[in-house]
Amino acid sequence: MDNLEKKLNNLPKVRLRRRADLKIRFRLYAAILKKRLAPEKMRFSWNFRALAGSVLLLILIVVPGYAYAGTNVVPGDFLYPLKMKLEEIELSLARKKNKAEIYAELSAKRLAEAKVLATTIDKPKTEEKIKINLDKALLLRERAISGFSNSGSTTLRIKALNSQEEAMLTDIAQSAGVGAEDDLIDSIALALDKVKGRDKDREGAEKRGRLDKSNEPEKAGTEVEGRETFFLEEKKDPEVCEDCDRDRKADEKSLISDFAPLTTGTTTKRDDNITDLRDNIDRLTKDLKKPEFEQQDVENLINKINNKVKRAEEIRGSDQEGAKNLLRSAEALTDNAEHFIRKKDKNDDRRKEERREKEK
Amino acid sequence: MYNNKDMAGDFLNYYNQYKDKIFNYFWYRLDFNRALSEDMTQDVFFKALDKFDSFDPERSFQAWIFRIAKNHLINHYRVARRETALTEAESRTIDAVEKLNIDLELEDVFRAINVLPEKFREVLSLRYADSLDNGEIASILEISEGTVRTRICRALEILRKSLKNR
Repeated sequence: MDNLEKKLNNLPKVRLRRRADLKIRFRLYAAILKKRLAPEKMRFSWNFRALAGSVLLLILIVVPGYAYAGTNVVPGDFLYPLKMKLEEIELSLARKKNKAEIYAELSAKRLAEAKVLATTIDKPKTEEKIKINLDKALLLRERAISGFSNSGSTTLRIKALNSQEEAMLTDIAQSAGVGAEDDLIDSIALALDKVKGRDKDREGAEKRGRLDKSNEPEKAGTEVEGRETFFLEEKKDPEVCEDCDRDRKADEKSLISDFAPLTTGTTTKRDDNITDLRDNIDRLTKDLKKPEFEQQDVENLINKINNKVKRAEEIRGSDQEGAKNLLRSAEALTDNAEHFIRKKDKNDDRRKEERREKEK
Repeated sequence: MYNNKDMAGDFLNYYNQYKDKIFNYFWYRLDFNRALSEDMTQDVFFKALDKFDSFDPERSFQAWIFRIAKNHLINHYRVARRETALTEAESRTIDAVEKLNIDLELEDVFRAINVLPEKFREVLSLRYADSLDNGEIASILEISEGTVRTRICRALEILRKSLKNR
């Protein structure tokens, strides 16, 4: 090795500065992590994105669909506000002539929800929710019938709606049973009366009774006019017609005034009504004394009705409106009593009989 | 072939082992420009990391990383057209030497090396600055060991002549 080679062997060996080394090292760490994770991360990322996209799509399609169409989405459910919003949108987008049909559907929906709620009646505030749903259902039903009438739809559609809702209310009554709160039982019974059209019959009967009561010749014109109005009411559906509604309110006022003579001990049509009601209750008691009905329920329900009548008689002097409502409720309950009473399972009786025979 | 789990640790070990050699390699070929050499060193290790999946651990990492460095340098020259004028290269050499506080004799050697044709400068720096043997230089430059020996002899001959003339 000559001098030159020695010199060359002593050439300075430069080193990477610490700062540069740290910079490169740091970047390499980051790159290594990226490289190590990147393939999996990318796969995961794309898989995740695809999954998230699918789930989002599913949520956007299925959840509103479920919320809108699902009868299990009831008041108190977290999807219920969404359901309400979708219904609002549907209504706002609907053409005027289709609105009646939508109202009818929504009314049936509220009843369907009430039916679901009635199966979980033990939960707190459920009875209140059912009552609210019944009120909503009746309001929507009124709007639907009004729409059907205005659009010239046949009474067949209204009958179909009433029939559908009657079936639903019967189920609700059966689920709620006699053990439910009085207010709820009243709401169901009155709703049943409405869909059966019995409330109109009662109002008509009351009106006729009131008109029959007057024999004065100068009031004859009014009587005829009143009867005409009554028949018109039946044709137009008094609940949805504003004029009819006004008439009905006027009728109610006059019905309240019917109680006035009772305080003086004069015999009036209202006394006859109470007598009729008591007769009906007696008849009902006899009818329900059949082995197919749970007798405990029958007894409870008859007691509830009798208490209402008794209470109505007690307060009619001081609170005519309250007494009227109690009687209406008692009448509705009498007419729809059997829907609330549990029926015995025939198979149970057969099984009992079989057991007895075996024991013998 | 490497799996991802082993890769990180092995690569960082290689980095620690060869970072200075690669830096040195660039410093001698890039007119003793420290900043540029650092950047080039970083680029080389990033390229190596990118291709590390294809690296066969049975083979020499040193040869592999130097080959990457060499190719990167060629690209650098090609892109930047770094065919610097002789005078410019000499002046930069002087600056670097002054900074390194190298003795006057070695300063002459530096100057002489810096004006050598690239292929001679390359073998000399690999041989003496990076302390690689002929076999390693051959594998990096992808030439035979005989060629390496010849080039080194030729480079030394030119260098001697150059130093005699100074």
